[in-house]
Amino acid sequence: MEKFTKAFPSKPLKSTAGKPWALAGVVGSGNLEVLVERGSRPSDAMDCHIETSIPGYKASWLAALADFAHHYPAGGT
Amino acid sequence: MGTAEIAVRRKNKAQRIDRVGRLARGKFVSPNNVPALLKRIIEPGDILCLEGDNQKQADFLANQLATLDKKDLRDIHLVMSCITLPAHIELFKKGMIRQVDFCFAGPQGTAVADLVKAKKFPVGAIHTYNELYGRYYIDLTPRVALIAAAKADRKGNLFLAANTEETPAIVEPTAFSDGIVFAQVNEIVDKLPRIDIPADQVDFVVEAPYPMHLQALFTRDPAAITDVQILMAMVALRGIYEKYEVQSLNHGVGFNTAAIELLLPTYGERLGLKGKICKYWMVNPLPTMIPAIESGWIERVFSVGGEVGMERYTAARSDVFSTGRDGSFHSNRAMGQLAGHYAVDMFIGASLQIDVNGNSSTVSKNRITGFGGAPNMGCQPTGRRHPTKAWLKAGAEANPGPGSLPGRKLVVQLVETFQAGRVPTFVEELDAQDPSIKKALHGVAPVMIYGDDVTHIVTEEGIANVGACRSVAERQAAIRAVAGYTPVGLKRKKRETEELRRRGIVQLPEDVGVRPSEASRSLLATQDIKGLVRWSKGLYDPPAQFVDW
Repeated sequence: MEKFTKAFPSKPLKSTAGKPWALAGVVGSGNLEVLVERGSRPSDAMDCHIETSIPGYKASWLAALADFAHHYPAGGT
Repeated sequence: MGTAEIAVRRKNKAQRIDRVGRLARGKFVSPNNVPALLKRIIEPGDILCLEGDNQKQADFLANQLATLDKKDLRDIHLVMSCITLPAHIELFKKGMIRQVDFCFAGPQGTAVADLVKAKKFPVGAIHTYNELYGRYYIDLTPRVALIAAAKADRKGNLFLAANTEETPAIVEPTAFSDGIVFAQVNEIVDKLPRIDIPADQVDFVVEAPYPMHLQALFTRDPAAITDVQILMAMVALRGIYEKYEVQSLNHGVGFNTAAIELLLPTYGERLGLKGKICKYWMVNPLPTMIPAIESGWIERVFSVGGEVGMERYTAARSDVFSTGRDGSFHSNRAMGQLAGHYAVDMFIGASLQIDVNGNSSTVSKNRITGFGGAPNMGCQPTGRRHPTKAWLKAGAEANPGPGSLPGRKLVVQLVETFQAGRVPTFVEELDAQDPSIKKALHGVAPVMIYGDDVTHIVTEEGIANVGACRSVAERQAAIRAVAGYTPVGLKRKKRETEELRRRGIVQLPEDVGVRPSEASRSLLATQDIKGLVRWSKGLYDPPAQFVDW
């Protein structure tokens, strides 16, 4: 198991949804599972916590998340 | 002098036939006599052709050949399209083979790599199908050809059933050059459904004790298609099929293109593309095409081979497929490859590795597979002269100079950025460039499709229109842009990608109107093999390994 945390600059997320969180993927499926929460973080950053059973792919995770944060407004999560 | 030489060759054939004596009754040989007969008709130094492609195999004759030893048979120049059976490998291990010229070694790829390492694989070259068939007529004409047919009649006429494949391309050059044609057949009957090879071109026939091996090579179970493959299929449909109005095409073998076939009657219909794209096909009778055929999308299919289980369906749809008068399916690998080269606007297929210049290969250091037909179709046919909309549009993008063709064939690679086991598809240099492999192949790396021939690379990240790139550097940047998080992709520069996207050379799914969240298995016309049977109204008979009900 590998765990790491990193924040990425991202435009603020404008959400009209009532729910403060969203979930994609199935727990225990072995596939990607993503939980997004509106946090107490600054609204211009996306704060990420990664837990993966496959070590050695930190660079790929960081690159994929940086692209996501750049491409979509996800600040404040 | 010409006459003298022909006379020698013809005399030599007569001597070989004489040596057979009572091992045959006329043309007919009993299975027990086959090894002895092979010893008498094959001479040291012969070019020997064994029929074996990626579907049907002259496996009985190959197995009998492999029972012989080097003292019986040596110095053989083996020519064959596919090294597929353990018996083929046995001939090398026994040291009978002086040289081999072939196309493909899929199932024996690992054994071939081992033979190369052991220096027991004296290869002339790895060919594409039509290239090798062409050489059968020129400098690799077989003295003896061992072939496979479904049935023979009492005169020795042959019926090849659904898998005509390459038999005519072997028999013709052999028979018309005083070579010996020896056919194994599943059964000998009084009357054939149709004659595919006339008895005049056949010297010996054996009724094999077991039917020839036939591989169900093109069957893909819809149950194994993933959401990512569906996303790529949607992107390809909108960004390429729809954009260029691709009417005639070839699909490679794989789940990526199977996903496209199963999206036509659903997603394609919704986009209003029926009748505008995918009408004419050079492809084997793929079971995953049944829903599109039943929905009236497809006008014509011509095939290089049959597919196990599709016999009744293709007979019932003889308005779409090539069939004999009796309705039985007809295929022809040489002509199909020719059609796939000149007569279609698009080739789309997958690959195991693509380098940063767009060259692709399925060869690795431990597995030498070769080519088959993909390079015949996945290349620019510079001898083409007839225009179509798709061809002209792709040509205009390529910005032809004063000395180049006005059109281009669409040559599309449809790949996920990673293979199974997190092995990256995109690499800086192909494994095929390995010095030991290049040395064994006389300095030529076994590249499947060259980057210069490719027009588009589609991944789950988007489309790289490499055909529209203006420089090597630009092409590399476009490929990195869709190479995801592979080492090749991680080297992309954000500004370069943005600039290529602005010019439409790189397109993300959203740029072609595809929402990734929409990509789901529920879009497929059917979810499983049983659904294909249902679509076929019970006419498709899937092989046992695909039946779980």
